[in-house]
Amino acid sequence: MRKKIGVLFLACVMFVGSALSVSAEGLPFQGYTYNYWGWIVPTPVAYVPMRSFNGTDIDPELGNFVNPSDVHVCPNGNILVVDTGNNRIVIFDQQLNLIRVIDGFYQDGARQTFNAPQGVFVTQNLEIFVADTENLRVPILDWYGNFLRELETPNPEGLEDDFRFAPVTIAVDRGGRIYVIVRHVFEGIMNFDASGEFMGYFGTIEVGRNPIEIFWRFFMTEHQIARRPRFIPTEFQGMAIDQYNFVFTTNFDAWGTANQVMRLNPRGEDVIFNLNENVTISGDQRHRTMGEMSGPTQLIDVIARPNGMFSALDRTRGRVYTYDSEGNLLYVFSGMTGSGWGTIEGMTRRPVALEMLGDDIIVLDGHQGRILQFTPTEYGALINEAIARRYNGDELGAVYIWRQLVALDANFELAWAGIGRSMLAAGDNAAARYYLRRGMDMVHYSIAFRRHRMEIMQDILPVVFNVATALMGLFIVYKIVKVVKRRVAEA
Amino acid sequence: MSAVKRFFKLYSLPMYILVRPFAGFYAMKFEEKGTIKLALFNFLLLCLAYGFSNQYTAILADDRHPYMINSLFTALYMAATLLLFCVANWSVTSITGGEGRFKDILMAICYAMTPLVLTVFTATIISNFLTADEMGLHTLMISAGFFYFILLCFIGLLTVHNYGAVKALLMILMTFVAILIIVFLGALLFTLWTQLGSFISNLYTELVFRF
Repeated sequence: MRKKIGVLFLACVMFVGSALSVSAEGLPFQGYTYNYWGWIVPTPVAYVPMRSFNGTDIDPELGNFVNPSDVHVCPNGNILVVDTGNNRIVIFDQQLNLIRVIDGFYQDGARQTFNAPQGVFVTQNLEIFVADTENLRVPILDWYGNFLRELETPNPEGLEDDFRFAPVTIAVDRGGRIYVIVRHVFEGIMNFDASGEFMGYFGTIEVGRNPIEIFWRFFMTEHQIARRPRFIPTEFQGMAIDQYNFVFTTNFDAWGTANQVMRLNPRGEDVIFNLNENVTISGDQRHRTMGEMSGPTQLIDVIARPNGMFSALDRTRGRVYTYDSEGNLLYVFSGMTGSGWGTIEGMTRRPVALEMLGDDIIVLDGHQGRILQFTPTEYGALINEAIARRYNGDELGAVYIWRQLVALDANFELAWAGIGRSMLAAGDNAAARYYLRRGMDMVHYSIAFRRHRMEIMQDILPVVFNVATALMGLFIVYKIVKVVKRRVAEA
Repeated sequence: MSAVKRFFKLYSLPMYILVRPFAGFYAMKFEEKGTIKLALFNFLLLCLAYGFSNQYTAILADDRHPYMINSLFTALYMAATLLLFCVANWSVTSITGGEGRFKDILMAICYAMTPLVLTVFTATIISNFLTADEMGLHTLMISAGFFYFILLCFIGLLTVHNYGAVKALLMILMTFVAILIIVFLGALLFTLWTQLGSFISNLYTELVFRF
């Protein structure tokens, strides 16, 4: 009994200090989002678990994935899993038919194997880049697993002598630029040109200044300062290339308050401008500080989705957060099972990687060696559609979808704001004010308000001026009559 | 009609203080023109002004969630601050040769609230006619009112205690120190009382379980 209560309690506290009343039938997680003020608002569930599978489901002889660390969907629709514990790469199609297992290759006639590879990327012309982490190299294979070439091990100046090129995550853009996240390299993402030559570092993570630390350092000797912890940037975690060759990256934030996802342009500058500072691109805005699954969200992987959207995977609570191109949180789904909970469909134990599979989203669970596939519900599909239409400039078409969304979920601010924006564009300022106010889109509300104010003034001011002029005329006439009367009386 | 007339006659002192602060505060204390009733009425007006502001300020100027706004709590908070400041000021000035009684201090502060009352009311109304870009006017009005309120407070205390400017400044600083001490003692007392309470309740529990 006590155990049961404990589990119930855990299930309750899992949903961070929230008052979620809407629950999807039979789902282990609930949908929610954060409103303008950063408060938790329950929503319908946008994605539901469709299926999950592990290595034996693909081929019994394959055995289970052991500690897999990356999953990748190729341009031709096949799926690669980096089976780190088994030092191999498994390729299969969407119907779970095994295509190929790559556990090594021949280079100059010599057999080479992988050693704990952690990342993989497949380019448009089906070249496989493998982050062969413990072998400290990036071999490039063709689709059939034959060795083509390898990345030059960079030896840039200024690096410490014990520098190890341990690649973790790889991405290649359409122009052939290669981005490699290397373990314990804080300078940025290592950037190689198409021929595999090291170009330099790409993207930087700013280190927050700590005023108290700065204050105390005034009084410290050099020796003391040398023994203080070093303040170095956090490492890049996940990486994805979008259709414009911009690079999405994630990095942890110690407090869970700063943006954890960056969209880097080719110059390595973050170009996401999130207008609402109450809701940052950092997953959960509120979190418990003690107990199981506590602490700030740690986004370990990101995927670029069509129409400027992106999803990021949280390591702390196993949730998948989806944002639009402006950094607005759209929906949250999935979750994590605690230790001793067993396997729950739709929940991960130690999520490690995220991918798009058509409209579906797949999450790789490193602990169970399983891949979970989530498919959009009506609600999720409507959001995706609305965002797509808005992103492509079809505001009017989007309104049709926003209205359906509002019928499903009256708490969805973005939908109200979407309707409001189209009203604003159509010139119905009074209605635009109502909808933008409900959507808490203050920027556009202000514009609608200004235009509405102008409209009212244009209606009222002529009347006011006419009445004032008439009154003034009457007053003058009255005065004249008075004077004339007096003159007449005097005369 | 006579009641209204009387009210305006009474309320002429705060208005007079607004334009002639030194003479006004002098009249308040030394010509016995000020009444504690009117001072508290002025404070009530300020509470009403803030209540009005909480209720009717445009969303572009005040985007707090309605759940976070409680006018009664605002009033209580202001009353507590007022009381704390007056007590602290009284305790400091009574040992540094200030001439003001507690009543005078309270009256001086309350009479000084008039500009804040006026600006909060008007700024709230005006905010409903402004866009987000123009909201600076709203902020400016409120801060101007607040600035004048602080200035009047200073002049009022200076006049009431019959201090020079430097001594008055020192007195204000000392008042803030006194506020800190009072808050600290209050917190200490509260903690001790809580512990005493929990001790008694524990004792009761023990007794009930034992017998």
